[in-house]
Amino acid sequence: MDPRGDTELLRAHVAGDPAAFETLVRRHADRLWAVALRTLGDREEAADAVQDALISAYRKADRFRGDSAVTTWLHRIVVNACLDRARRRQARPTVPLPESGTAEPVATGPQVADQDTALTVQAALAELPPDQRAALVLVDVYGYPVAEAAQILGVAPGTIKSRCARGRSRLAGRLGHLRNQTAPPDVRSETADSEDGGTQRGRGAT
Amino acid sequence: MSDDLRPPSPDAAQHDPDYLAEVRRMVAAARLGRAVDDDLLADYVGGALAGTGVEEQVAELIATRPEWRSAHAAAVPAEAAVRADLAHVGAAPVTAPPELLSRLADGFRQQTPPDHPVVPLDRERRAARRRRAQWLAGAAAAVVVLAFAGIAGASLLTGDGESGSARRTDSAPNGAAPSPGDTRGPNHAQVAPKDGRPTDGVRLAASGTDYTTSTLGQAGDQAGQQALSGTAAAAVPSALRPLADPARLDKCLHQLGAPGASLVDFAMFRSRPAAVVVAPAGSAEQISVVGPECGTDGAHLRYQTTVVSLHAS
Repeated sequence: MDPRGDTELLRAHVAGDPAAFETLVRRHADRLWAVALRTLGDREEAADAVQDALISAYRKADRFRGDSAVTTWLHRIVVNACLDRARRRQARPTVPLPESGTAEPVATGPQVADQDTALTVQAALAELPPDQRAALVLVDVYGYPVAEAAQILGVAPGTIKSRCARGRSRLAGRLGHLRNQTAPPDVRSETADSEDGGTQRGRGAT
Repeated sequence: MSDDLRPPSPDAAQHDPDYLAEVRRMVAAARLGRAVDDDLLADYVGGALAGTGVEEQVAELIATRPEWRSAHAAAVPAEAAVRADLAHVGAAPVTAPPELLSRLADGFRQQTPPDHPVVPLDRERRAARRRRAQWLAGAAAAVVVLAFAGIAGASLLTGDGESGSARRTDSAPNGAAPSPGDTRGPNHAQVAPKDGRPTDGVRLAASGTDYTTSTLGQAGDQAGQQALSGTAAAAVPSALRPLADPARLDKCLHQLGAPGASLVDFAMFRSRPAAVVVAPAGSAEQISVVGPECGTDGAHLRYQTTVVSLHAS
C-alpha cells in the first residue's frame, strides 16, 4: 500500500508520476462507485459516469487548488457527472416522476424483509429529483457531514438540509411511513387530505 | 461536464439567498391559507429552517393550527423511519467492479501526462507538418492521408447514439504529436511479416483516439503518426489485446472482408474499445470499426463508411 497521502499522490501525478493517480483512484474507488451507483441507480450508467469523471479529473488535476480535501474534490467531479446524466435522463423519462410525496406508496408496511426494504428504498430513491437524491445519498445513505456534502454539491449547507428534508418527506409518502400515523384525536388527518390533493407543495430547494 | 471543477459556492453562508426568499414566501402563503405546505413542514422537521428567521413562524403554525399539528405529528416519526431506511441501504457493502477499475486504468494510460512539456503552438505545428511530410514520403503507398476528407457512400451503423466529438489523448490542440518520448520517425511502422496472411503490410497503431462517426475519416491521419512500437503496444486497450494477436487479427480481417487493410488502429469508438480498420477501396478507403470480439465468431462490425480522398497534402 502506498504510504503517500491523497494530496501527495495528486501532486505526484501532476509532477508526472504515471502511477500516482491510479493509486489515488483505487484508494477511493469503492466509495466513489457506491455514491455513483446509488445516485444513478443503474450500474452501466454509474460506471460510465465514474469513468468520464475520473478521466476528467486525471486531465485537470493541475487545477486542484487545495480548497477542499482531495477526496471531496473527487466526489464533486463524480457526483456532478452523475447529476448531469440524471438530469439528461430526467429530460426524457421513461418512468413518470411522482408529483408529490404522498403519491401511492410502493410499500405498504414495515414487515418486509431487509433486502426487499433496501430494494424498495432504492427504487423510491431513484424517483426523487436528482438534486434531492444526491443530497440524500451523501448525507443519509453514506453519512457524509452536511458541510462536506455542501462542498461536494457546490451549494450552501442550508440547501443540503432542505434537499434532504424534502427528499425524506417524499420518501416517507412513497414508502408508506405516513400512512400508519394516527392523527391526534382532536384534529382531522391532514395526510388523508393531502392524498385528495388538498396539500399545497412548495417548490424544491435550489 | 463543464461544471465538474466549479468551485464550491461560499460555504461560509449557511443559506442561499434564493432559498431564504423562497421559505419566506412559503411562510407568508401558509399563514394566509389553511393547507399544510409539505416542503415547508419538511424543512422544519429536517432542521433546514434554523437560522432563516422563519423557523419560529412555522413553529407557531404547528402550535396553533390543527392541520399543521397533525401533519407535524405524522412527519416526525416518518422522517426518522426514512433516515433508518436510507442508512440501511448505505450499510450494505459496495465494491467497485473490477471491470470498471480496468477501464479506468486503460483510460489513464491513454492520457497524456499532465507534465507533458509545453511546446509553443506554432513550433509544434511546424514539427507536426514536418513529421507528417516525412511520413507521407515513406508510407504513401500504404496509407492515404486524408487532410480534408469527404465522407461518401452509405454508412452502416450498428452502435448506439453519438456521444460527442472525438477526444484526442494528447494535449496539442490541433497537432498530431505522438506519445511523449516517441521520437522515432513515422517510417518506423511495425509491419507484419510477409507470410501471405491478411495482416501482411498492415500498419498497426494504438493512437489512443476516441473516434466518432465524424472523425473516422481522419483515422489514417490520427493513427499514422504512431506506429505500434513496443512502447505504444502497452497503450493498446486491454480489451483489444487479444485482437492484437496476429493470428486473431488475420481471422478478424478475413471475417471483415478486408484482407488488404492498410491500417489497424487499436483505439476507441464512442468511448468504447474498438479497432479501426482502414482498407483501400479503389480511389477511396473503406473504414470499418470492429469490436474486441472480432475474429471470434464474426467481425463484430460496429460501423463502416467509405471515405473519398479529395487531396492528400
